[in-house]
Amino acid sequence: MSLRGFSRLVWVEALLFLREWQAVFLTFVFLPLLLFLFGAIFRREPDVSLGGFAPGDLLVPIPIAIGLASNAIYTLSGPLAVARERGILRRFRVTPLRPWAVLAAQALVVYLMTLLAALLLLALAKLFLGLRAFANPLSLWGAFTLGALSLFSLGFLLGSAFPTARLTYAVSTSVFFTMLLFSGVIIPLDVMPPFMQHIARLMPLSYVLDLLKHAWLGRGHWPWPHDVAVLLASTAAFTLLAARAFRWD
Amino acid sequence: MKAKAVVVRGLVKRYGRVKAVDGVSFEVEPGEIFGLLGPNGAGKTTTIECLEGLRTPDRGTVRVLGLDPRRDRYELCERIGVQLQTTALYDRIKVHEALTLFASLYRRRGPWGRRFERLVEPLGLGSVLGRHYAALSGGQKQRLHVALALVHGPELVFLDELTTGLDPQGRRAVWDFLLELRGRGTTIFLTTHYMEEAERLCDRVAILDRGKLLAQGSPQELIARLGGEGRIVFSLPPRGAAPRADARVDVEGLKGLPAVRRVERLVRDGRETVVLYSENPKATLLALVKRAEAAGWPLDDLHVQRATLEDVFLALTGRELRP
Ligand SMILES: Nc1ncnc2c1ncn2[C@@H]1O[C@H](COP(=O)(O)OP(=O)(O)O)[C@@H](O)[C@H]1O
Ligand SMILES: [Mg+2]
Repeated sequence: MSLRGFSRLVWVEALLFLREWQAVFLTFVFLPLLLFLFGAIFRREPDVSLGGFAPGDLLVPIPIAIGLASNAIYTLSGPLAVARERGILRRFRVTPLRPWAVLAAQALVVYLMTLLAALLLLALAKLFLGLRAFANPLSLWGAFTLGALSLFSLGFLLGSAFPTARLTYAVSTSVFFTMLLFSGVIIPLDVMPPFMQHIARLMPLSYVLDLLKHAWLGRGHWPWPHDVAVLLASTAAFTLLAARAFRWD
Repeated sequence: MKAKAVVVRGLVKRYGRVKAVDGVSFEVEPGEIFGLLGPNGAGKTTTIECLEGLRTPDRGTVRVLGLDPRRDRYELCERIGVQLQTTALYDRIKVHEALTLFASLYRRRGPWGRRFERLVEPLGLGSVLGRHYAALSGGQKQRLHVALALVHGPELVFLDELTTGLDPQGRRAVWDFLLELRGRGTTIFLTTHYMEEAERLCDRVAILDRGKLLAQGSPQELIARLGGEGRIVFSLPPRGAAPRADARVDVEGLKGLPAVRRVERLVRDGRETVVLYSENPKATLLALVKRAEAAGWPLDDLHVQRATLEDVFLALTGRELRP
């Protein structure tokens, strides 16, 4: 397979992403709405101490983390199972295309789209909610990328582990909502009862959010090297399992 | 001597207890159209997918263009084109995008022109290049899959039931295009349960039934091997309408007519029908008519047909090719 083939595949995957209105809505409309929703709730709290930060600073990591998780589930895991079930993967298998190239092209497109959404969220937060923290852009990008690696490899694992697309969607959606509930994106880790905090430790999304907070605000629930280690380890584990579970048909 | 395009020896493939392919051997010459003919469930798809490297044989050897489809997968995939029996594309991909995408995956480039015009026009896809895959009709999808199999100008093309879902017109367009392709040196391997397709297209066919090869050769050879170029068909009077005892047709005795190779009795459309396979239908017919006149047989619905692969299949299995 050639570079020409791979870049063409990336281009086509990008077009397909943009033609899927659910994915576009979720990434570029729903996440900003979420940011403003959190902003509205936040402003009603009279006595939150912002500790030198603007509201946007505290809120912006949340929709970014949710965007990574939702795209991992709804544009990687589910559609992978659908493509398998419909025989699309099988058709690629009788071309010189390598199996990783199909997945890599999809992951790359979803990564770039989510990155675009993250930049949009930062811009909106700056304009409407205020941003005072100035993180090192490189460490912010690093945190984002590490989060993408972990959650996307989880997406591919979920997309290969189950026999049918229906089951894949059912399980992936459950995983998604469990992560939302337990990883501090909706209920902050610090106010969770201890049993929930234990469950939160099992969710990769907890560490993604925590690392994003470290990168943006310079503080988080766990020390950042701990987040990095967990995300690297989970990426390795999910990738290994996904590669073993991967099927063309 | 040129190397064989495909060599299959003793191929066996099981699914659990079912032996889908049971000891099949054949060879395909470069530049020919080779057809695997058989009813549904015969094992055609299993066989062709073993050649494409999609399934691993349980036993036997398979060589395609001198390569092992499993071990040399990527090298082989560069050189072959494949249309699968059941497959799909992304719903929102446009026809021209699919063509460009698949073309970009190969080292070689097809001789179809910048916008694939020499490929899409003969296949009747010229007017739907901008349409989404999901918006195509079944026949258009099928023709697109044929086009995608050919987009890089492969040496060898595998087509599994290529005209399913095509209307007669589309079918003919695809057939003509394939014949033209063969004229330019492409080897074509196809499966079909459609006798007319095999007769129209194939230089050689292999007849597969329940996982076993029953015969192979050119359609003309197989038909000739039946013992005749033609068959004479007529119906016996319905059982209820008892004819005079002396007018009952002596079916056994028909074997004695000149040039008759085989006599068959079967039920067609609820009526008992007699089929005489003859090496010389004209001579047989004359003698039959003479005898019928003398004996007073009605010979309802008497006609002469050229023998077809359908008859070959019937003779080999005792069953009709298509239910
Ligand atoms: N993946 C499979 N698992 C189990 N049985 C199969 C599978 N594919 C085909 N078969 C069985 O193998 C036999 C041959 O099937 P197939 O090769 O598809 O025949 P054809 O293409 O001639 O219709 C059939 O009895 C079919 O039911
Ligand atoms: Mg089949």
